[in-house]
Amino acid sequence: MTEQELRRNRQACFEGLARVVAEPLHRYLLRRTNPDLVDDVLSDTMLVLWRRIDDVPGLGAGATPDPDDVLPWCYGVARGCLANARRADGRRLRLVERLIRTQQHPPPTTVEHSDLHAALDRLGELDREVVRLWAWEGLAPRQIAEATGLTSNAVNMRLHRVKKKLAAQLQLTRKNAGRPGHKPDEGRSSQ
Amino acid sequence: MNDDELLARLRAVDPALTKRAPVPDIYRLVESALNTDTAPQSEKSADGIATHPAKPAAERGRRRLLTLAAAAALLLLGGGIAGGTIMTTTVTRPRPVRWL
Repeated sequence: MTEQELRRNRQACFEGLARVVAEPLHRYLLRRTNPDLVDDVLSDTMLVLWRRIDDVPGLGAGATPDPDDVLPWCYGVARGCLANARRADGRRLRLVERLIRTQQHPPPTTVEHSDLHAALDRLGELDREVVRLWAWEGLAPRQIAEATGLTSNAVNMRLHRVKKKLAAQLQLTRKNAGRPGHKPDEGRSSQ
Repeated sequence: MNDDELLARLRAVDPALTKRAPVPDIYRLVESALNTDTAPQSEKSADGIATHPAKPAAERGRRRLLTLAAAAALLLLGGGIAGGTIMTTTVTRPRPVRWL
């Protein structure tokens, strides 16, 4: 096979991969950062995927790869690119994100789910990522392990612990909300 | 609260459902990736053996860092020796005798 044919094959593989992963990756980034940054990080991610096209697991000779095979690895790449963008642009980005949050009026659904947002905010970064990958990206623990670089066992344990923690916090909030006129900080002595 | 209920609640707050952003232009993304970098990182030769290109920039950077560290160590060593010599001469120098 000549060099040109190899390159053409690789390009065809990349085009097939892009068709399968571009939209899920776009949604992945949209869930984790502000829309202004999504396009840039998505372009970076696609560039990394092209550079490492030979390393993408589950990318055979077929024109259309199976999303279940390729997506977890691609989420891992997007996660890395997003972390790089945040590191490079950290302070400005945090400021912009905070400004956007304060300017936007929360939609009714956000208010309704404020307890869930608060519970998610209380989790550690990696715990939050694991639970989001499970709930929003719909990944199985084995695939979450591939995306995060953890072992399957570690993901299973972490996911179990996080689910329990979230459920307990939501239960607690619901119980407190059930009591008329009770606020979480009520009934505590200042001494 | 069981797993299904938690999953349903988490899916209800999925930002991708509420945020409105245009769908990515896949053709443009592919074109820009192919045009930005024409060579994938691990080039495979025709017989399937992966060849990894050398990283001259990283190598150069590491060498420069090593030189800087060596220079700093030399400077510290020189400073320490000089400081030690001064201290020794200050301590061992006899006091001038005063004749009253």
